[in-house]
Amino acid sequence: MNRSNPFGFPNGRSLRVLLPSVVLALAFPAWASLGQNVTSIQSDKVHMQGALRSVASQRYVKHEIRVPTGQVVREYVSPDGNVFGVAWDGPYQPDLQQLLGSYFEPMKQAAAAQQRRGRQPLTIESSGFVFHQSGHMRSFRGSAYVPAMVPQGVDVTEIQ
Amino acid sequence: MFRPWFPKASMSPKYSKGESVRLLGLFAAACCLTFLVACGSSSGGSNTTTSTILTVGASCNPTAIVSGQTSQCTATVSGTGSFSSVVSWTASGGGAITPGAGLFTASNVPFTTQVTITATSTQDTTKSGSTTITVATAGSVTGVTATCSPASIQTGQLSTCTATVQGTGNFSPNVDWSASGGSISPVTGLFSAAGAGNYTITATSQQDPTKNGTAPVTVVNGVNNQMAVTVDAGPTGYVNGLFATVTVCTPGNTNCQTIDHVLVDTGSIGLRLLASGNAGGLFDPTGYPLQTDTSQNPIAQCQQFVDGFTWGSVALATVKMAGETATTVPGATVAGVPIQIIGDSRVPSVPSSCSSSGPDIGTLNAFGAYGVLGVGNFQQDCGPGCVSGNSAPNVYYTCVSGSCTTTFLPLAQQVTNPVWVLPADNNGVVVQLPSVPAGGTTTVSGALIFGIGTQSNNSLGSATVFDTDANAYFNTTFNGVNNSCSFIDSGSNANYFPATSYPNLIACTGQNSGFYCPPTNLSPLVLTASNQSASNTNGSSGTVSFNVGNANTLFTNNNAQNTAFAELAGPNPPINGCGSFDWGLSFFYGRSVYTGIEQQPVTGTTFVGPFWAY
Repeated sequence: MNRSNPFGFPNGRSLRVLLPSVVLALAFPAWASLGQNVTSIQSDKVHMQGALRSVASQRYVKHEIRVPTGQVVREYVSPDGNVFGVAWDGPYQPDLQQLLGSYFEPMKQAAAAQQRRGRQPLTIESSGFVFHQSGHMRSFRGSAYVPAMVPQGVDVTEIQ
Repeated sequence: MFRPWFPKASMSPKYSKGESVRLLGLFAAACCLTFLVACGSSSGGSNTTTSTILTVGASCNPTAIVSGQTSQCTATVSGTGSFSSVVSWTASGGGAITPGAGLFTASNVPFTTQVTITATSTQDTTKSGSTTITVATAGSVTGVTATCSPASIQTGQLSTCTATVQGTGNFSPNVDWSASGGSISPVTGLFSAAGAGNYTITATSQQDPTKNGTAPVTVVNGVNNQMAVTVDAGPTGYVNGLFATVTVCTPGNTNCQTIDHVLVDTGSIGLRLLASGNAGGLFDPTGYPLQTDTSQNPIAQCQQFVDGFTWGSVALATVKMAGETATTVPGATVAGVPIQIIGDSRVPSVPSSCSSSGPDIGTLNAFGAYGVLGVGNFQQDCGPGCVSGNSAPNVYYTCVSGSCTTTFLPLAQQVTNPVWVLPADNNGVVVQLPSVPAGGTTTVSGALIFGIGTQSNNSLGSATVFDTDANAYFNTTFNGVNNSCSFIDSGSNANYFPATSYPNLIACTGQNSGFYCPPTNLSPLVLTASNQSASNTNGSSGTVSFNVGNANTLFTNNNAQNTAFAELAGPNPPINGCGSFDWGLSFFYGRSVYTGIEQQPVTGTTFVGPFWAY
């Protein structure tokens, strides 16, 4: 499972191993991150004090967590147990570092490397990672996914 | 407002009756002539048929009138032979009736009176028929009082005048309006004046023009509510960036700075300025008091935008825009308008709960402007969600001993919409920009006008008003799909919307992947969408035509010198089943776009923010 890594990290797998321990050490409210295995979702739900609702379809399971401050986060989990996509909306941004996991720092670097043409929805589109966030003050909405992890037959527009 | 009921309402039926009665009268006269000729023959001794009157009936319409009004009466005569239908009319009192035509006119009775109307056959005066008419006393007007609110307005503003008519009996409440100057609607009583002065507004009774009431209205010159705005490249190379110059002073106006290239943003709330120093801004925070909590600890802020966050202090300032000055917030205990100073070194560095929300855009290179002037639909940037709840969101922070933790903050202390706290012209803004040619242009000059319907330069006119929902969203239908999380936002540098498989509406690849790049031989695509106010609001709708050009081409046109593009657009995928059509600055060219602030009414209309109009 050698995936292309668009962000210059030597090994995507080592990042996925390293990051959860970093996150726990910082005591963030935690839920499963993009690209990670889903085993932590139940404990994460408790940690977040959020309400969890899970909906299974033929090709994936969607976990929806409502955070007390009003954000709603959705995680899309493939049959092999990996979070291949995330989406969020609400009056404030969720903890994107937690939600995007190992993709958070590369997302920030990609945003900083973009030629700035002004204030606009943030779109990052590469072969390894797709991110979009829009909305306006008091109402934000976004989604991100890892194309290589999206199960066969799933339309990426379903990640919302 | 007041509809005349007297005397027109009774006039038209009376006249139509009158026509038929006159015809009847001619017919009766012709009969009579025939009868007289017959009589003549009779006197000649011929053996002719005799005629007799059997019955005479009478009826009047209307049967109930007021003193001074009329009622038309008609007779029905039956008989045998060549009898005459002619009758003569009499009334028992309470008025007079024309003996031939049967038109009754009520006199001024002291109390309600039953009048008996009698029709008597002229051929046989022993035959008659009667009916009754009820005549009510005429009311009289005893006085008129007038009031106008507000009693003091600026030039171009509206004052609403109302009248109360006092009287007895059946009097008319209707008045006619007049004014000693300016203009007033004779019917609705809405007054305005283009010149300053003291005006007298008069309401005159329609029934009794000798009775009137007056009210004073003072008109003062409005402050200059219009500031110049420009679209240009800004400090770092911006496209579709709308910039203003803002003057900021310490509370009390002792020390002022003028900051150029502040982004005019109807999609955010509050003034935010990049501090000089590491943030790369122009603004020196020295002397601007920090907002504090109840323990006098300084307040910092993590303000989230769609493309990242800004970290800095919340400080208090006087804000000057054109001739308008914002000095304080209703309910606040200290002077000054709360603003954010991005990169203010007086507060500790970014806490992790802020930096985890996205990219840090609190530097000039990332921000692309020296600040942002958020003049959107809300009064505060965060609102009730930052006042109380289960846990404070990662927006406001209290800073103790070098570290900052999230905190709730009362509305009056939150970073506020500087328009909302102006002494006048405080219910919204108008952004006016000229059209730009196809392919774009280098610079554009326009106006940011404060207030809606408050001065002669910001009336709604023929603009359509679209109410928004509580999140400041409305509906935009494109390609058959409704996007119910849509909005109008001068701070978005293009129109961003879901393509929904529209032919050739495809995203650019590479550096410009956030924009659309339809094939160059098909550009620009000529598209239409339909806007509708949010559900359960005022139900307005309207169609918008817009073009989408190839962004790669637009950015290289004219040696890449163009900064203003009406044809710039980009993708915006739906989230949680809610599509979002973000009408950015591309939409504003060639329009006056109104942004109404929540809870703020537009005088003389039923409109209350939040709304957009164009």
